[in-house]
Parts: sequence; structure tokens; C-alpha cells
Amino acid sequence: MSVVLHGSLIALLALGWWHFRQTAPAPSLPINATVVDARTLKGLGTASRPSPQPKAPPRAQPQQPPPAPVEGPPPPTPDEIAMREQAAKEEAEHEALAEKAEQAREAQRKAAQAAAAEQAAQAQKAEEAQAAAEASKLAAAKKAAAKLAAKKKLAQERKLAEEKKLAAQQAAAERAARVADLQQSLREDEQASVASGALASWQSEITSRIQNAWIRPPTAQPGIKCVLNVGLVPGGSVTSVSIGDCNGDDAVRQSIQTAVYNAAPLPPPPDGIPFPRQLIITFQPTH
Amino acid sequence: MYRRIAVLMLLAGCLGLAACASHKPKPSAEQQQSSSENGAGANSEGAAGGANASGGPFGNQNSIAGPQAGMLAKRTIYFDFDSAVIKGDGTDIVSAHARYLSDHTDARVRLEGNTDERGSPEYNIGLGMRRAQAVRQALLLQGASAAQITVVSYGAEHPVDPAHNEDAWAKNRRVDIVYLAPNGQPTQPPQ
Amino acid sequence: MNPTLRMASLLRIFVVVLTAACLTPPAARAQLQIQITSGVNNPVPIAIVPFAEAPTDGTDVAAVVQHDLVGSGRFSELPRDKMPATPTSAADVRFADWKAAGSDYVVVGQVVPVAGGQLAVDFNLLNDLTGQSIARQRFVGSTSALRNAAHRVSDVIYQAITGIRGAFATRIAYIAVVGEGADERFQLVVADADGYNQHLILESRFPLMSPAWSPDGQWLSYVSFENHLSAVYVQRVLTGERTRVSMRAGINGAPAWSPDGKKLALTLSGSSGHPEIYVLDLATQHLTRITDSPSINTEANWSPDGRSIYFTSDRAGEPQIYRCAATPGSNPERITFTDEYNAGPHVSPDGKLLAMVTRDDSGSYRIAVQNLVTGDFRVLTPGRLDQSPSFAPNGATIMYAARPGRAEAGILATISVDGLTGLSLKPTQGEVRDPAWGPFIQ
Repeated sequence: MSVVLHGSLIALLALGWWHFRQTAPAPSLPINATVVDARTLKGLGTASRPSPQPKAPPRAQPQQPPPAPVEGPPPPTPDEIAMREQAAKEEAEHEALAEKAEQAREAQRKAAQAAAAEQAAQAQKAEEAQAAAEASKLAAAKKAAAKLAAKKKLAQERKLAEEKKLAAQQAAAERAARVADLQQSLREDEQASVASGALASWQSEITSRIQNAWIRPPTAQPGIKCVLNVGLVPGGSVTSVSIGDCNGDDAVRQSIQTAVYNAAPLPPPPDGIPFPRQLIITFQPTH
Repeated sequence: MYRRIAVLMLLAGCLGLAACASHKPKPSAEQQQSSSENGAGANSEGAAGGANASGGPFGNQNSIAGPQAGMLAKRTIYFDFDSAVIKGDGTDIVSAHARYLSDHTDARVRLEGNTDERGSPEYNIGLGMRRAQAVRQALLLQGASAAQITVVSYGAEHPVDPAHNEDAWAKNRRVDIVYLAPNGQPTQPPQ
Repeated sequence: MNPTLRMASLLRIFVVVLTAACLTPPAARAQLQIQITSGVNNPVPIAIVPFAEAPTDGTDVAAVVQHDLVGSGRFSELPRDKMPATPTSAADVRFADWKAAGSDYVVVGQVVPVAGGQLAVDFNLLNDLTGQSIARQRFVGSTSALRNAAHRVSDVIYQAITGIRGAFATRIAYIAVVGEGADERFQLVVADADGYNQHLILESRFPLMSPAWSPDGQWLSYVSFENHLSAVYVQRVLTGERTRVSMRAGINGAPAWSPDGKKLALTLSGSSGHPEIYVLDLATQHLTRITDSPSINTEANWSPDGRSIYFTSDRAGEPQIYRCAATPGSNPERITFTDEYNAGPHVSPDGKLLAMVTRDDSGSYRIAVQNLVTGDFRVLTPGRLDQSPSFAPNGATIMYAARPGRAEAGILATISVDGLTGLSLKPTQGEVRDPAWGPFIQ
């Protein structure tokens, strides 16, 4: 009897449990012994998201160079003159040829007039023959003229090419001259083959002194660019500081001036290099 | 919906009583007697209650009333770190109180969920509530009715041990069962 | 190649070279060009000379200013016993002496009585390297407001040198716990940002938590367990007038004001038992549910534009920080992916940084900051049991609750967003926690 009662009790409990689960409101968590242990869900929580790359600051576009001044035509070269003479000669030849043809015609007309009637047909024939000869000669002359024109065109093209070549040569020459100039002035400053290394290391020493002295305010972020003109005396002391172009706020401006004064006195330059009277410092944080 | 569950629970409870009645005289009286016998001694440790289950003049072979006799005096259920799973003898404690509540339909309890002090305070309120809800569900499933239970979470704000070490933290990760008088104030809990 | 093209390119080379040649200064020898691309993050050395005091007053204005500036982590002070002189006006300052003492800046000033029984605080901030006066101002107020005037001085100096608006003349709210056992009391306290001038707003035998300032600084919202159950209240700071906003079944917690001050985000669990984020319109009392997930969703914090809410959720197992729209129906987006535990979000006033409590691999709870733009995650505090970060209204400093040692009482501490150490606010008795940094005072 008790077994039956116990059995039905258990059955009822099970029914109730099942019923409870069916009719309970959408459960929060099944917060009984079957709750999912949060530790087993570890995997879900640790997916790492790659941090997006910080954007590089926009680079300033280089300025377009102003348009070059146009140069006038150069004077004629000896080649040109020769060509012109040649052309004139050919022109003269052409004229001489034409003249000759004319003269021939005149002579034959006279001969025909002398033996007028009987030789009319012969003369005519001869005339025709001559006319044909003239025509062909004219054609030849025309051909020659055309040839000459073509030659002239070619000559002009060559002239253009020559002009360009000349310009290129001039440009190259001028560039070479500038490079030589710069090298010359650099050489003057360096004074010796080892001097360039010493200059760079002195420059970097000054840079690091100023960098270590610059207490950056929070508003000195990448995008800030400030130029300081600093007056120096031999010995490295600062005599004046003036702010040039600067897009920083007052805190930035204070900090860069303070940095320069704190970095002074600056170390002396390597032997042979005169102490610069002026320092142009550009503060432009990159990170 | 809840009425249906309540009816089912009542049926189950009646059946259970009937089942037990078939070979156990006066279970309520016996429970009260055995509880009061070790009520004085059973404060927080469970050994006394367990011993009484097997022996005693009214001892019996039935396993339902015995081990729970001393559990009624315990009113704190403990939890592991970051967990809302009732652990250790917490399940027995819950069962004992569930029985009591189902036997005494006028009894009212407030379940107070707590956490140790580590981490973010309001998140700990949520954790404490999760633990209190776990105990509430267990009580409901075992005979208590929803009207008898209110739930609150104190998070980390109400520690029993203010020290800052593992021992104290383990004691603070708990749900307290607080019996209330009809006026809502805490009252003498059952022994 | 096309002859015209070649001509054009050659011409361009020629012109570029010409331009470069022209730009090279002819007197290159007498000038040196330097590029500076980085600096250092050290504190700025400053000397704050004791002000000439009005005879009747006891407040050491210079000491208050020094405490503010040094406490921000961005300044280091010249101790008084190292000061070469004690000038009180710019005319008396010999810059070379102060430079030699190691200071970049000198602050001099006076407190003088003015009409109406009030006091005027005059100060001058000088750069002793350039010899210039950077800032110079006068603040007038009553004798009892002298500390506030000193904080205003600190604000001006801080902004002149760091570029960031100072937040020294602001207030904080926090919870204090005093007494033990039956005598234990919970207090809601409002004080100056440096911990002075404490005012008791509310005292209770039951826990108080989560104070939150309204955007205009007139109200505080908080959670109280005075009925043995949680409830959310709002209280006017000046008058003490108090309204209960929510005492629903289950959790009532984590109040957060919207930036326009018209709504309160709340955590409610109802009878279902799991906490969700709701938004309560204070005028209409209309309640809108924002999250819908069978997990713990709590600790709402509004974005500065009022359109999003950051909150803590353990829907993925352990608590992490999510963001959703402040209106219902949006899918929350997970924000934190570092470490297994991130909770208690507080977004900076410019919306770019998110402060939180994080638990690292060693089990220590520390304050971290995540850059919401770059995703960069940085742990700031060295502690083991840190909680409850709150941004200053200038976004430069974070106040949080700390426990300096296992056996020690809880304190409040500050740290700058780049990790420079700040102040500790230690109570004389009991412990303090749950700080909320108030807004700028207009």
C-alpha cells in the first residue's frame, strides 16, 4: 500500500515538476542545481578583437611648381643657313631651268617662222614634240619643287628636334651647375670628409636634449606643428625665442618655449663649424 | 497557472503525508520533539542533527524527516565563488525549510542573497539575487508557495565577516532565510 | 617618346630644381634646423609661494593649490624650505633664482579683504624661464568659501599649463560606512573633490549604494535598503527633499541620469528574477525596457550624446560591457574583449574613453580604460580590490574605491587617464566607497 502511495506521490511530483517547467514564465536562468556553470562558458568570453590600426596623419600634398617661362626662338644655326642657301640655289636652278625652257621655245618658234609653211606640219610636230618635252620637263620641275618642299618640311622638323635637344642640353647643364653649386656650398661648410658625420651627431645631440626637456601637455597631439625661432650666442645660451607658425594652444606654446630654455646651454658644434646664430625648431609630435 | 501548481503541490504533499502516515505515528509532533532536543546545540554545524536522525526513541527508518530535523535551525546556504549552485548541505537545509513552509502556510520568509566583496557592486547585487532565486526555486519545488517568499539581494553590502580574505569571503557568499512575522518584521525562526 | 612629352617632363625637372635651389637659404651656415617629434610625460615643476594672508583667516590658499596640482599627477612642487624667497607679487620675483631652484613656473598671490566683508584672492602665474606672466586673476568670495577660491585658482593654472579645463572646484558624492554591529551606519556624503567640506546628505541603518549626480548637480539618485528591500530614490542636495522613484519587487538598482536630466536608467528584475535595464521618464513615470536577455544586465551608463547606454552583462558567461541604443529593440554590441571580467562602465565626458573594473589573470580587480575609438585597453591602477570608477567632468582623472591593503579600510583614490598617480582620500573613521564625481559648477 505504502509503495503504491509513494509511487503515486513520486509520479505526481514528477508531473508537477514537468508541469511547472511547462507553465513557468520564460525562465531567467534555470537557477537550480542544473544551472550552467559560468566557468564552462569560458570560451565564449575570450574572443579577442584586433584593435584597428590607428590612422596615419594625412601627408601634406606637395606644391605644384609654377609654370616655366616660355623661351624665344634661338638664332639660325650654320646648318640652317646652308640649308637656306641650298634651297635658294635650288630655287635659282629651278628658275634657270624654266628660263631655258622659255628660250628654247623662242628659238624654235623663230626656226618655224623661217621655214614657215612647208615645215608647218613638221614644225607642228616638232612643236608638239617640244611641248611634250616641255610638259615632261615642267612635270619634272614640279616634282623637283615638290621634292624641295618635302625637304623643306623635313628641314623644319629637324630644326624643331634640334631646338628641343638644345633645350634639354641647357636644362641638364643648368641642373649640373646647381648640383655643383650645392656640393660646393656643402663642402664649404663641412670643410673635410669626416665633418658631415660630426655635424649630424651634433644635430642629433641637440635634438635629444630638447626632446628630453619638452614636457608635452596633453593637448600636444599628432597634428600639432609649431616652429620656434631661437636666437643663440656662442656658448649655446638662448637670447630670444619667438613663435613662428603654430597651430597649438597656449599650453603647447608655453611648453615648447620652456623646453628650449631648459635645454640650453646647447653643446658647442664640432671643430671648424661655426656656432649657428639661429636655431629653427619644428615641434611636430608623431605619436 | 500558479494555482494549478499549488494544487499539484498540495496533492503531492498530502500524498506524502499519507504515505508517511502509513507507518509513522505523528510525524509533526515527532519532528518538533526531535528538533527541540537538539535545538539548543545545533547552531551552525550539522553533526548533531545527523546523529539524531538514526538514533533516539522516536527514530525511524524513514529518511525524509530524520536528517532534516536539525537542518531547520540552519538558515544560511553557502555558495562557491561566482556560482549560484546550492552546495554542500544547502540542499538539505532548503528541503527542511520547504517542508516547514508547506506545513505552515502562514509562515513567511525573506530570502536575502549575498556575495563576497570583490568586483563591481551592482553586478554583485545581480549575483546575490541569482543565488536567492536559486533557493526560492528550490523551496517552491519542494512545497513552499510563492506567496510565502520574498526575495532581496544585498550584493556585497551586508557581509557577516568584514575581513578581506578567503575565509571571510566564503562566509559572505550566502543566502539567509529570514522568517517574518505577519507585520513583515523579522521574527523568531522555527527551531 | 613623344617629343612634346619629353620636353614637358624635362621642363618640369628643370623648374623643380630651380625652385629647390631658390628655397635653400643663401646663408645656410648661420642657421640650424631641428625637428622635434616627441617629448616626455614628466610632472611640470612648479613653485607655489605662500600667499600673503588676510590676518583673520586660517586657510593656506597656496597649500590648497599645491595639493590640487600635485594631486593631479601632472605637477611636482618645490618644497617651501627650498624656496629662494617668498614674493607675493610679480614685481618681487627674481626669475633666475627660481630657475636655479629647478622650477619652470612660479605662482605668487595675496588674500586681501574687500568690501562687504568678503575676501579677494589675487594670483599671478609666471614662467620663470621666459619671464612672462601667463595667467593673472582675482576671485572674490566669503571667508567660508576661501577653499573654493583656491580651487578656482588651481583650475586656471591647470588649464594654462596642460590645456585641459581644471576640475578642482567640483564636488563628489560617496558612501561612508561607520560603526560596527548594531551601531553600523551607512551615510551618503557630498564633499569637495579633495575630500574636504563634507556634508551629510542621508544616514541609514541599512545599506546605501550607487549615488549618481544629475547633470545640473542639483540632485542625487541612490539605492537604499531602508525597507529591507531595495528602492531607488532621488534627493535634492540643497534641501534634502526626497522622492522614491522605484520600489518594485526584486532588484531596484544602478540609477543613472540621462545627459538631459529627464530620464533615469534603472536596473529592475521584477519577479522573473533576472536584472534588466529600464529607462524611466521622470516626468511621465513611463517605464521602458531596454534589454532582454536571461542574464544579469545592470550598471547602465549613458553616452554623452544621450543616444546609447553602456552596461554590464554576463550573457556571454562572465560579465562584460555592452552598448545598446537608449531605446528598445536594438541589439546590444559587445565592447570589451580583454580579460574575463569587465564591469562597472563609466564613459568619459567626450565619449572617447570607457573606464571599468577589470579582473586580470592573477585575480586582481583593477581600474582600466578602453579607448572606444582605437580599441586600445590599458590597466591604470596597481590595486587588487579596486571598484567603482568615476570620471572627473574634464575627463582627465578617474576617482575610484580602493583597498590599499587586505587589513585596511576602503578609501577613495584618483588616477589620471594616462596612469599618473593621484590622491588618496582616507576617512578618519570607518571606510568610504562608491564615489560619484559631480559636474562642473557654473
